[in-house]
Amino acid sequence: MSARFPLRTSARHGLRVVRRLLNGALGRANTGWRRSIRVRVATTTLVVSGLVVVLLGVFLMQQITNALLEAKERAALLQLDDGVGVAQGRLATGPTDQETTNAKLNDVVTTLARRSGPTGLYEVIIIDENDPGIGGFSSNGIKLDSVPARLTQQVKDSLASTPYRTYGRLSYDDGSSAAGLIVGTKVNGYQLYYLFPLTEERQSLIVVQRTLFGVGAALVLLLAAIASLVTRQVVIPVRLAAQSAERLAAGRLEERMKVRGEDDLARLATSFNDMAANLQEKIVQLEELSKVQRQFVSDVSHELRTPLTTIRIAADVLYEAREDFDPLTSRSAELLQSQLERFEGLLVDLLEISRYDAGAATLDADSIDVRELVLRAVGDTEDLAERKGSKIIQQLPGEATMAEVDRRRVERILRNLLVNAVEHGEGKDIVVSVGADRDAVAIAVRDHGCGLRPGEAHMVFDRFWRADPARARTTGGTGLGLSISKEDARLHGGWLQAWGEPDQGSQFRLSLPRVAGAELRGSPLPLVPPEVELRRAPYAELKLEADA
Amino acid sequence: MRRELAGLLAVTALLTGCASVPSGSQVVGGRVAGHQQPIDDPYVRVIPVGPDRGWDPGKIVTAFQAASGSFDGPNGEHKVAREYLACGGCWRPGVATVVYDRVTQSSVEVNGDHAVVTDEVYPLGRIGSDGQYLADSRNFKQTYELRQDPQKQWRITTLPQELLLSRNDVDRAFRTFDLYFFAPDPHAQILVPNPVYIPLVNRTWLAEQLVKQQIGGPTAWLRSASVRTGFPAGTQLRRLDITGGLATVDLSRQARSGDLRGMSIQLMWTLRQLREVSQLKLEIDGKPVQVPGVSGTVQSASTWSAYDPDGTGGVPEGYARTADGRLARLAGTPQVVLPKLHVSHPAISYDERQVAAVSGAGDKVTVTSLVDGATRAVLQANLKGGRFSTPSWDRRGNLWAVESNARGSRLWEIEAGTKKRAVDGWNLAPYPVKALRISRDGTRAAAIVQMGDVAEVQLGRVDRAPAGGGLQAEGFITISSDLRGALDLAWRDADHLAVVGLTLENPSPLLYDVPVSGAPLQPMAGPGSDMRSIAAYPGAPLLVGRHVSNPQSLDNVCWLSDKYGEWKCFDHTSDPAYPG
Repeated sequence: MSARFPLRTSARHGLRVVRRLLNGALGRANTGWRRSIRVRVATTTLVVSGLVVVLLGVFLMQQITNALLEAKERAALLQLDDGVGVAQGRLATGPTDQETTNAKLNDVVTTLARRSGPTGLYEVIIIDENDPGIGGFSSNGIKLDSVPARLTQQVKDSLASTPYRTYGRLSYDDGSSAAGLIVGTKVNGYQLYYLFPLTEERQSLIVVQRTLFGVGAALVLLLAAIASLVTRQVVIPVRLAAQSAERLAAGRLEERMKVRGEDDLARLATSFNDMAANLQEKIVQLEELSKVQRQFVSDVSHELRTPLTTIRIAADVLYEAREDFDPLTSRSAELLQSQLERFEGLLVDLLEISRYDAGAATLDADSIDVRELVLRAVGDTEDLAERKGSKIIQQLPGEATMAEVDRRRVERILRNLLVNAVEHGEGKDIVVSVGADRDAVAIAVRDHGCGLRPGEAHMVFDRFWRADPARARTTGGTGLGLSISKEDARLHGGWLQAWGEPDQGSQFRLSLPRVAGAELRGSPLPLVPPEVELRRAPYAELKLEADA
Repeated sequence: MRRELAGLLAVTALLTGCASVPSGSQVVGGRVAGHQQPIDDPYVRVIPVGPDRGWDPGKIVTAFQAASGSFDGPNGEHKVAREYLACGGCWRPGVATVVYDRVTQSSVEVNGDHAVVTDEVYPLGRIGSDGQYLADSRNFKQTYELRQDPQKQWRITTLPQELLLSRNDVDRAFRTFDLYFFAPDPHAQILVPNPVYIPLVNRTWLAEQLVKQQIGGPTAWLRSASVRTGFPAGTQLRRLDITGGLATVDLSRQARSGDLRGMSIQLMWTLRQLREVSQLKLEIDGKPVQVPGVSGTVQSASTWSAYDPDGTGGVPEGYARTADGRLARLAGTPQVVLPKLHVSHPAISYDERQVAAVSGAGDKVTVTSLVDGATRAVLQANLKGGRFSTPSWDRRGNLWAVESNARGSRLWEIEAGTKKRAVDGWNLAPYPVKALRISRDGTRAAAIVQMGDVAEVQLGRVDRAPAGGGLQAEGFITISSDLRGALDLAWRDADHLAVVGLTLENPSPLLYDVPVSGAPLQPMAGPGSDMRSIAAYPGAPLLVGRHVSNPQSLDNVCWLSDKYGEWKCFDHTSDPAYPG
């Protein structure tokens, strides 16, 4: 038993190896089939030509067999005819008593069998139905049942000298048997049969069959090889084209294909090259255009800033002296002042967002304690909050929460979120919480204002979007703040998401990876505030009970 | 367009060229790739058929006799013929056979569901259960008892335990082969053929049966001549395989104690009668054995050619008696050997140094040395009016002469040509013997015996009891029922006689080749009428002496020229002789 275990395990191991190899081979074949035209074409050629060769081989074999057997049948009938002559000559004369007849029949069979030659071309059976006890004579141990009953019947019912033939199985006394051709006719009331073993013919057919097999297999393999070779000639330029296209796609616009000869592939290469040239031209054009645009925006901002500064100085002067004006003019000066401030903010934001659009924004990451950023942002907005009657509650972790972030951008995000919260907080408390785990840090800003209607959670980040277009802007936001914040978060590889429900307030969550550029898998803080989540649960339970 | 057409034509021409058969080529030599069956030996067999419904008893018996002529079934057990019997398994004929010339159904007595069919059989001879043939033409009655089985069909219940076959049936169903044994003389290994009939069931069976019978020993008739065999008692044939001319004989382990050389010689000589065998490999218990004196384990026919039962020496010239009574050697023309010697019915010894001759009156046999002409011995007739026939030498240099008168005969032996003595056990003493020839192996004697008014050719044994006991010539059996008379005989070779004889169809003397096996005799073309005497030697032309009444040509001795196949005669000669 103990000896069998290693055997079994080794067998199992071997089976596993085989299965793995098989799977590997199958996998490779499948991959080859999917990926390579050459494999596909060669395989298809193999299968199709194999089918054709098999069909052709079967047809050829049939033809050759038929030809061979026809020749044999002709020869057999001639032999029989010859034998009939001999038999007639011997049987016609002499006394007709049983003993003499038997002797004569014996003599006929001996003579005819002797003519068969040394190779045993045929055996002879003569059937005499008049003699009790003796059915006839046969040569060389051939059995009587070698002559099929259908032939016997036919010959018996026939007129004399009509030969019949059929195929059957010749069986001998020593137990051997062989396929054979049997021809028979009636001679002087006796039935004479010649039985030709088809051993030679079988040998010849086997040789032919083997040759056909060999030639067919060689042909199929050759065809597959040719197909593979021919496909190679087509596939290699196509592969080169694919390579070129890949390089082109990777931005190497100067990539071109080699043009060889004048064939279709050369035309493909030429077309490809033309396409690449056109593409390159267009892309260069577009790049130039975008460069011009960027330049234009930059120029515009610069050009706008200078007159704006002048206007600002003038407006400041007007604003300072507003008490000397009549109330209407004084109000106008105040308006001018405030709108100018908005205009300036708008201009800064526009410049910022256009920088994002141009892809020119870069991350200037440092390892910073996020709490510090939060504290500073809260400090900046506390005045505004007080004015609105809101209190900012901070929920910060005890230890330092370090992350690689761009200080300026994260501060901007936080400021934006806090201002936003204060603005929509309706004077209620604002909660700022910071969470962290191994990979990420998160900052959530919660207000308890009117909240967001369903679907608005995504729209809040759209440029110039307002929850209530009729509402007056009290804090003078530009409408671009959240858009820029979202872009900032994205630049860090982080998320900025919003949650809100009507009359429940809203929460904005910023999640950032601890390492700049790392992929973010989850956030340490929930998007939906825990108290809202908790409040929902009992209802759900009650509902379940009601159902029950 | 035209180019394409030309291309098509070229392809067609090429294709048709491929399919043609060559109409000319260089001359190539070839080798025959092994024969599948002996060319001159197609064998023909009867196809037996079983009984039909409603046959009467007479027809059943006739049909049974016809069907039993076939050794069908895998072991030749007459499968079909047994269908005629009420108890198929109770009949065990073996090869024991009565060979008949004709059979007539003399009576059929039906008594209720029993019937008795009586046949009058005119036989030619019998084949014993050991295959030995005995000619016997005494006719007898044979009865068959039949009974109706529950289906009202007649079946044979009582029948002879031997086959009843016609001559043709026997020729068809049996083959004669020689088994070979060693002559009793322990000093010289001389092979004695022992012809037997073996049924031809199929070719492989035939070969196997032949070897089995060879191992099993001689027939009862020859066993009495105390011939020797190399096979120890109890040896069995384990396997016989014949492929590509090589016969592999695998014997059971009892053969280890036997004489390997003797067994090989016997097997080789026996098996070489089959055309498909030319080499022999002897195995014992499945392992090839090394036979002393043979290199390798495969023995070829030529290995043992020195044991040819016909002798191996050159072909001697014949002798004859000239018109003036002198002995002449027939070398181109008759040349007188010893001018002073006058002979009648001469017999030359095998060493050609002695001649035995019968005196003119026939009552005296004189042995004379051919070297110095000295008379070595003289044998006087003992019986009243006894006359000697031509004496006969054996290989050991003993001379045999038979003396007979109208009422009987006596056999004499002159040992080594000098010491004469009468043979005690002479079976043919009551009959006149016209001729006696000892076979070259010295164990058998062929004689022409006057049985009543028929001169029969008989074959007997010369038994030499061991340790110098009495000499016996006995066991004489008739070998052919066809011969109705004979004038002279000679041994052509170890198992064939040349006989000047008469048959029923031909009352004038003709030349016949008579196999001692009992197989049918074959007439031979002779030199003409009036043949009287004959001499033969293996490989040498027959010498036939004619007595021509025409005084111009007188007697002459003729020989068959092998060059032209015609008879040449020396006028004025008679009494032809070869050594022996």
